[in-house]
Amino acid sequence: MKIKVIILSISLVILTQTACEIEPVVDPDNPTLAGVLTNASKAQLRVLVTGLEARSRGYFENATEMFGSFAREVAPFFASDPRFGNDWYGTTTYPDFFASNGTYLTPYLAVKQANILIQSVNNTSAVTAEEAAGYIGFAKTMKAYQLLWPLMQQYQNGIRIDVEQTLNPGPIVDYSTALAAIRSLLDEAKTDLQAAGSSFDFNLTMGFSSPAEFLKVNRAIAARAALYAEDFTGALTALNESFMDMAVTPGTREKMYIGPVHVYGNSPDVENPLFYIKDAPTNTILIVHPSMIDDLLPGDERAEKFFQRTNIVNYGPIPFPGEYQDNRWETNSDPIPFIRNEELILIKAEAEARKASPDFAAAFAAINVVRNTWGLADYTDGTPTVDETIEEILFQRRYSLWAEAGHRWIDLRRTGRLDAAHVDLTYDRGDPPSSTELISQVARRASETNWDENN
Amino acid sequence: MKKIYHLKSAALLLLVLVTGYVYAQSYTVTGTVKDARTGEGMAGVNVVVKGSSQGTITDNTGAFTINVPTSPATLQISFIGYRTTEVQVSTSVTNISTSLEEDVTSLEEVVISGLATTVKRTNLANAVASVDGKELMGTTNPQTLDYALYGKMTGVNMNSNGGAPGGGVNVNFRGITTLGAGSSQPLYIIDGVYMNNSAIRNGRSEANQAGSGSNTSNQDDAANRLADLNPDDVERVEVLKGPSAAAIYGTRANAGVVIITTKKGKQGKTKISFNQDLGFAKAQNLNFYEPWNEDKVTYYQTEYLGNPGAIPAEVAALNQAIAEGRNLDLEKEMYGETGFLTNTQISASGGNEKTSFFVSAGIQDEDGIIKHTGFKRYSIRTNIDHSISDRIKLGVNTNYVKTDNQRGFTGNQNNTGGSLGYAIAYTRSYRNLKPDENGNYPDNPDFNDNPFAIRDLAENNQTVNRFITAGNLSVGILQKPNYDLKFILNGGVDYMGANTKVYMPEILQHQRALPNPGDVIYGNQNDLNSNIQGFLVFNLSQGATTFTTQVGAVRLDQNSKYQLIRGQGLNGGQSNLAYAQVVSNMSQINQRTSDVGLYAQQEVNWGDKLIGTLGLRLDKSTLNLDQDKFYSFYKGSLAANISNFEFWNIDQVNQLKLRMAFGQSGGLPLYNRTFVVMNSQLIGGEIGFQVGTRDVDPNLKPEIANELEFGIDAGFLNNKISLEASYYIKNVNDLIIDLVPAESTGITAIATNGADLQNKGIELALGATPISTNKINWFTRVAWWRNRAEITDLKIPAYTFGGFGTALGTYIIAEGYSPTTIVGTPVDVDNPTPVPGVQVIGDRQADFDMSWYNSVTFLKNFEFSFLLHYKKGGDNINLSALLWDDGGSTQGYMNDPDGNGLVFGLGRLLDWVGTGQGRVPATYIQDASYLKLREIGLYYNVPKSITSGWFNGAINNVKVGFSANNILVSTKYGSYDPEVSNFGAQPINSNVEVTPYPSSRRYFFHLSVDF
Repeated sequence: MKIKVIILSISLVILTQTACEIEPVVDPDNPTLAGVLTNASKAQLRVLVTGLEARSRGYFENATEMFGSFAREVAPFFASDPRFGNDWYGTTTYPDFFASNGTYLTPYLAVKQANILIQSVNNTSAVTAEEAAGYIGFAKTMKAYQLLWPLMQQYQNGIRIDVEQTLNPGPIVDYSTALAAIRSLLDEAKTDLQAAGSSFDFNLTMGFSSPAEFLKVNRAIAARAALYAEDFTGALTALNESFMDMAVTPGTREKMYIGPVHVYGNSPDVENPLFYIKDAPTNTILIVHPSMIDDLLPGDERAEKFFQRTNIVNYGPIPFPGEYQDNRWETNSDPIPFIRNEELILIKAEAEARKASPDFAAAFAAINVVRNTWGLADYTDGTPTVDETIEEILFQRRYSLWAEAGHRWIDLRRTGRLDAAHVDLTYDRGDPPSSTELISQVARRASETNWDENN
Repeated sequence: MKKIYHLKSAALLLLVLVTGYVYAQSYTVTGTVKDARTGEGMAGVNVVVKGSSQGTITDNTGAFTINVPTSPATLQISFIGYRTTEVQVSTSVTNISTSLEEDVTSLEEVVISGLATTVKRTNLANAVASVDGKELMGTTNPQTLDYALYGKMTGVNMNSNGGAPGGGVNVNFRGITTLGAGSSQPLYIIDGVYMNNSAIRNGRSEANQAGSGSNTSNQDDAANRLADLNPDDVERVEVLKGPSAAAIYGTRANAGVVIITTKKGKQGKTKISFNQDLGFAKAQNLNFYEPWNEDKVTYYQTEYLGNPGAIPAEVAALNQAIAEGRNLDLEKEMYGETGFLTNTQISASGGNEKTSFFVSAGIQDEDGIIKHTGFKRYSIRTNIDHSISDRIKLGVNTNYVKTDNQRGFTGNQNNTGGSLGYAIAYTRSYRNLKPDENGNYPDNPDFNDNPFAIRDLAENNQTVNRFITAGNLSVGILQKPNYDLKFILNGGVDYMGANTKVYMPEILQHQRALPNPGDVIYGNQNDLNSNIQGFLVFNLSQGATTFTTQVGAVRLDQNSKYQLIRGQGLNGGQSNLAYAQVVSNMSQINQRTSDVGLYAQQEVNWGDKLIGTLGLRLDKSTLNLDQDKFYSFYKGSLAANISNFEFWNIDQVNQLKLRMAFGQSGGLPLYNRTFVVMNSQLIGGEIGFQVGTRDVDPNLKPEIANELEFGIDAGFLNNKISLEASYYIKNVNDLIIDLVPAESTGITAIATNGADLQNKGIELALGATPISTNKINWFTRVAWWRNRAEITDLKIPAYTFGGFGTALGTYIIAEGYSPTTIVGTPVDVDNPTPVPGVQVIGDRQADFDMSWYNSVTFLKNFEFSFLLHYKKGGDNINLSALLWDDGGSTQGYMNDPDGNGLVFGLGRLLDWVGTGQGRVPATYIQDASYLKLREIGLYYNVPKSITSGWFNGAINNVKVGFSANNILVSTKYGSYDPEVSNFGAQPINSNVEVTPYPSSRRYFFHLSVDF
């Protein structure tokens, strides 16, 4: 009898043991977001800054490939998926093709990161007012720059600017409203940076690592935004506060490349997305559009950007052989400047030519800094007109800024020149090409449409 | 001790007094039991005096002797797999001879009814499907246990992911039970242990970039780990298809439960069995690649590539290849191997009154139809049962398994050529790609890599070491004539250690195009599942009514540690990370979950006429957002055995049962879904934290399924014909789905309870024994089932899901539509458009499934069986065809069936591209109906009269036979196998094809010898 009782007792003990409390599980592998939102330490704010830099470089590849395809700067010979050619060399894009996320969702992730950084800085007592202004000036500048990308992709569809509350975002605003908001955000950031003392409380991988230096980056971006907004005097003012340097000669060409950079590296860092081994036997490669070679002026040393392959590649959806590839990168770790002196000089040229009372001499001087640097003679025009000057500037921008996040497409569109006269469609499928229409904007994401329809 | 003895005597005396049948002397009955069909004596048959604990078993000749205390008395004679029979004996009838008939209808078997109880199938109120070892493995030798279940029960839809050795099957019971948050695969319980059936991530989709950009789903083509279980060890499989039966497993049971019982030893002489299968595998259908000719070269260069300038050189290359006899059919080159298959099993079983044992060892070795692919499994098992006393029984089952799987490279890839199928779609037949005498592989000008080099040089290996140990203890605390109380404890551990290696040597063409050529990914996973449950079971008899009560608690803990390490920039043909220039951690996950549950159930059986059950399970889990909250799951059922009532007098209908069951079960959020975290990213040597893209609804709760099932079971003409019919309505509420907010907020998914789903289905099974004579016994069973799923409520905007986006065909989650609905762009006015911009272009859900199983024994010693399976309807997204058209390799590329001047291959592609006449969205959506002869086998039992002369009669039984798997497949589907899934086992995102590993036909010769 005793044995039974013992067995029964043991049984019941085991029974209750099995039902005992369970230890709650929190993610053992990652930090929680809640941990930085209040009372963040300086160390936490710094890793958020680094995270923001990391998020901020994602758009570059997609802008170069997709916008570049729309304007026939490049051809995406990505053999594994016929949609790259069919869609990007077509006449419309369908919503939510994964490959248009890079210039939409990716920059918005950086915007999210910037918003979290701002929120965290505002909710901590770990930093001084000066340090906080440095963080916030940096975050706002980066946020404004990132917002430009979805806006460039969506164009007249407009975008959301107020995206701080996940379940209560602001409305989609039209192109000019959005652009104005971006410019005013840059101006706010300027005020913050001016109040940020002499040094940042964090390091930057992009360079320009002090409030004063970074302010020059802020103003360079402001100049680009002003140009897009056709505020030419505003652009000129911003340029003067930027890192623009007109004193470039063929001997000091490298000064054309002054500017903040996106840095890259081997895994677990991200590789330079435009780097391809030269002449490698592959048909996954970004190809130079043949018109870039056709239209080169004799003696233009920007020809060095193009590498002629001996190994010709084919890609069915785009009906021309791939003969040239990008020659600008030596390794997969080469940094890429995302706004640089050469662009600023060309912004100056355009702003001078297009401002209310054009200063063609100043415009030509700027154009010629670029032309001379690359081995071309001065641009001359005895009876200059704004239109002719714009054509010349766009031509210089086409070669100077080739495959640098899709300038050509944006430039032609904003100047009303996105047409078969400015984009060589003769290499497209069909003879004559099946269509002379060009894609001018990307379809709005379904999530944005859905949200507005249901809320 | 003495005291206990006295107590026992007193109890016995009491028993005798209470029962009132006091006879001064018992008497001895002798007899023999024979197999009704063969007429041979049956060993190990249970003979019990009904209503007493007196019992014995028959010896090797089928003879028994038993003491019977009362006269008259009834002897109950039973044996697993045979119909129980009863014989009257008395002091004047002391020598009997009887025979047992095989129970082909399984009406006699005992089926699970609670976590600690079972019930006779005739009293069961649920449609619990069960398959015994003989039906499972008796016809042929399927690769894995899930393959072996195929087509053998109603309400089950399976889809193999592809034909790679080692399996990989998507198993769905009664339709769709989750939209992706919870587990879509059933719970597997082996001898009471929760078995880990996950697929191991090996990083393959990173190595060949299949997962980059286009889709974040798993495209590793890994097998689910049920592959580790040796099917030859399995005695029986029971399937709880829906919550009405699976409610007892509570919070993890939404996708159903598969209960696997392994073989046990039987009392008697030790029996040694040896089985040897030898076989081979050949590709089922290689008819999709077409070698190139001059016409096609000219056309493709001109019309598609826009590069007519290259025609002369290409034609010259073609002609040279033809002259040298190497214009190859690349499909047959790649997939044309004959895979050698062997399966060796040896087992011993036996025991005495106290202890019985079953030990087995098995080696299965299968080569694939692609060189350097294959599957090996080594398994050792020991199952021991021991009675410590009359009341205390103990059992331990242990199993060690090692599997070794080389799956090769098929399926999706991106820009690497790291998939044979993808590469050959684009590779022209006349390229000289075979290695030269020095072993150098030429570059492939048509694609990113040389498929011969990938096949021969790249590695995709996985080794799993696994221990599964189950233990059970049963203690009879009280044993009285009309009541007893038992304590039952069982549980166990499942440990899995896996090592994976995916290796792309630096000399591969696509690697040479990368900054750091040479890529190797090592995976290391250690999983430990442990579970325990303790129950008190109380039985009470009151006249004809019995009451069974059980209360208990269960606990499950799962720990998983997982790491993927990658080396890039390899040197000197080495794959050790020491030779890599860049070493990085791809993934490190430390996962822990715990579930705790309480269970109570009451069963009432009124004289086998009415049987009712009520149960409640309370569960909490760390996977829930609220980790401390108990969620409740109810069940209730009623079975009415009409034919057991006195008024029933239709003799032809010997059994008629009406049954009804209701039950609830749960589906837990995936691990991680309840965490809102940041992730690390390196930039320029500094680590940054990136805000994640996921959020979670603060009120998130588990998915709850409610199922109501009605059924009729009937037996006619003494069970010569049996019918089982069920109808169910399964509602899954609070499905966890991702609310996609405006993506501009930087959050792309918020886990929320956003949808309700309904499945309705019919399951019919008709079994019959049309011929049952000494010479021929023919059992046949026809099964028919269908399921209809529909989203009944969706609280978030309709969304597309899976596949590769709307242009290529994707799934839609929208109210009023089945989640298996396929949609595409652009909109056509004729078809429904669930959301703006997309139209319905297909549905992967089958119209119905039907199977026909036959087993015939004839000429005494021959057994013939086959299983046909017909699936009607259901569409696949066939992206292989798109790649073939794009690469120009489509069979019949140059035909012009519609006479429009545009050839078939390019025409189909342009239909999809939409040049000119507008896109045809359904271009690559194809009907995947099929008829498969899944299994066929013919066996011969060498008669004892012959074998008795061998080895001094040491041989008991010899059986030889031939069998085959999938030798006949009839389908209009335009690729290797209509069963396919690029993304592995998925709740929704299945039936998407991207150049998979082609399926094979398998042929076997079998020899089995029992000693």
